[in-house]
Amino acid sequence: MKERARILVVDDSTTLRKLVEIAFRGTTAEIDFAASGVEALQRVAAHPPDVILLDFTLPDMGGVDVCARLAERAGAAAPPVVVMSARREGVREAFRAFPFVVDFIPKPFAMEEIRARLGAAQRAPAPAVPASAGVSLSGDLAEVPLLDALRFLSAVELTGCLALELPARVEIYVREGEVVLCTSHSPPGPADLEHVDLSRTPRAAIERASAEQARTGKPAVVSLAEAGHVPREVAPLALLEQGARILAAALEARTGQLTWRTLDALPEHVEAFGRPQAVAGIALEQRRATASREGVPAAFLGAVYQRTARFSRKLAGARLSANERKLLSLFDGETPVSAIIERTGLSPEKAASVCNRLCAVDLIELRDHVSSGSFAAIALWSPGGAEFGRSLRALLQRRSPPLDVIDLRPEDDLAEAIVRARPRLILVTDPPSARTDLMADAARTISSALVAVLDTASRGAVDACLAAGFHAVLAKPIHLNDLERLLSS
Amino acid sequence: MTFLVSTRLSARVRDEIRLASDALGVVATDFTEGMPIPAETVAFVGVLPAGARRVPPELARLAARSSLRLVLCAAEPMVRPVTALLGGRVILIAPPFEPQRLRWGLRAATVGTAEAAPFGGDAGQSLSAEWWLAWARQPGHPAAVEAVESAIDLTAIVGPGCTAAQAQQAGDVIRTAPDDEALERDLRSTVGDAGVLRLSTSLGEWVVYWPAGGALWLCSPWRAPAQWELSRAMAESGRRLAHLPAYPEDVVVLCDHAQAAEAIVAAVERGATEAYATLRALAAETPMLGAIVEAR
Repeated sequence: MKERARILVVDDSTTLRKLVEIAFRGTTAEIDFAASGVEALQRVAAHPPDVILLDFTLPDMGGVDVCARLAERAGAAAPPVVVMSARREGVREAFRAFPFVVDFIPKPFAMEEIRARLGAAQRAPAPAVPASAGVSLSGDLAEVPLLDALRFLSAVELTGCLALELPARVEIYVREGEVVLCTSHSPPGPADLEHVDLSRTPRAAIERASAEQARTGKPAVVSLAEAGHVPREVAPLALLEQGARILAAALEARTGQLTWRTLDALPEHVEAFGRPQAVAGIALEQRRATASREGVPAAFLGAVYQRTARFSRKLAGARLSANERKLLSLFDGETPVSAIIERTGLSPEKAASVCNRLCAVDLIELRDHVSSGSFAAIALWSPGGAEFGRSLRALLQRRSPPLDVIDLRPEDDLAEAIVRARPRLILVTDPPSARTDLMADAARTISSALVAVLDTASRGAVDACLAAGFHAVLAKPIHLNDLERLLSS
Repeated sequence: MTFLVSTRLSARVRDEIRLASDALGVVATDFTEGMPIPAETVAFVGVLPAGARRVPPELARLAARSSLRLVLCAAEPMVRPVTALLGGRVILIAPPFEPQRLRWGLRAATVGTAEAAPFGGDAGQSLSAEWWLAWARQPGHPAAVEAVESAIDLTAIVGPGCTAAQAQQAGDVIRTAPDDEALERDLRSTVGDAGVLRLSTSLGEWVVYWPAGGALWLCSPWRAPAQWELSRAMAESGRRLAHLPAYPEDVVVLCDHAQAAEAIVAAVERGATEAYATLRALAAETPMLGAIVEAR
């Protein structure tokens, strides 16, 4: 690339801009950006670039229109243009009339590819950084948000490890663009050990390891994978849940060093325990819920992450209804959910119901998009007294974001009330009661979890609840973390 | 005791620190660079800026020169609300700087300066990175609190005439019992009618053995109900043994005087330090024994 080459990037995606910046970091190239066709033409007139990287579709006009204006103004002297597009067909034909359009880059693209193509477009010497140097992705999270980095890795389908130096070191293993496993080199908290099978785990081993940790003050060496005390059938789930929490916390970090390392193969324990999670899904869910990552709490993103995993598994099972398929086909990672729902032709309630079945949309602030009426995360059946309901409501209001609770009343048609409310959890404080069967049926219908809340959890009482159709049992005083785990499972 | 408080902290946070310090019986003084450090100073309360991965050099120098503890209010979120590093020399407090959290972090800075009374005495505190145990009784009251602590767990027994050896044995029984039936049987033979409370931070678990009268409450702003009389629930279900998941900010109140227990529990809402002050005040005039355990 020639000395101090000026590159004009015309795209309304801030993520793409950031990635191009990263791609050319360390080179002498000067990068300029325009978010629309009009802005691009103004910049070309004011300060002609050496090469233009032009998106096929812009908010105000098409890439073809931009080229037509360039041709009008400069004719053959127009700067060389490289067009990028996610489309595979008809793109070259559309630009055939413009000889200064010298190349086409299909999206997604790798960084070395874009450097090489733009270098060639200038008919200038080879890029300053050889393609064999691989992808260089590093910097501070303040500059390169983790979500953007993950989306980039997803787009270019790389394999390797993204390391974050937060207060503790976090490693995110990525296989061909998909997050496979997140690990943190910090001491495990109580929640990290909750899936350890105590009956099969020597307490002394855990205590020894924890004591060692406390003594040295060094990061934990006892990951669930390494400990070997976790039953193999439980370990992947435990690791995934642990990983979701780590990723959620990392997504919230605003600063910290980020470094990407491309690997030929992932470490053995990652291959053994990891499961692919679609990064695109994370971004998609986020876009559905909020226009900005600011203010999205870790718990929410954690839930998104887990739900995305479940979503992917369901997709893999290919047991989708026609409506589910229809709705899914419209999710492109760009279109707002409200527009998608409009396009389905389904009623808002129906669309919400379909989305619920896709295990994704109860993360949408449904009331922003559809009038689903009494949607709430938790329904409570507590005929024995209102005291617990009050304390539960107070607890969930302290959560960020707060969750609603619907009281199921004795006079309600319970099954109808549950199906109408579509809660994710149904808490029952005096189980098993005569109406448990009804609630269990309704919970099954809407894929909700029926959870017993006991004053004290003796083994007999727990067994009786499970036999009566409850999915889980909590003992008072229930902790918010326990509810979070149930909400996200 | 004095805390030096950096004027780089916001006025609101400094006000909260002053209030929290008052509750701990510590004087909080604004610190400006160059001022002499009062002899009774135990800690410097400052800011850990966003993005900092090391203790700022000027603070590290200050701490090294004067053997002060550093309490740093971090500008960015952290995994745990309060983190003690380097054996308690550096204490990080994560935002938001709510009064209760500040009290928690500041109290950690007084480790070693708390009442260094032996277990079994009339009053005292024991503070570690993972828990805080405080107890008080009216002098001459027959019941006592005995406890054994390791790096990762605390076993306390409460009852008339209980001994440190019994606490040690109770800890061993809990560690080794194969199942709950054996655990309950062995605890009964080890401690009789005394109550046992164990906090295992490695397992994230409370184990409660509560065979006789007396109140035991579990309180947490992150639980529903926020204050739960576990001893009553156990008695009503005919159980003596319970396992519960333990989380940071859990506070357990044990007391052999039911009304006093309710007063202490009411004070927990204002923080464990206030609860302890209430316990001390009640124990001064009532024949009773009480203890507070906070998981951190």
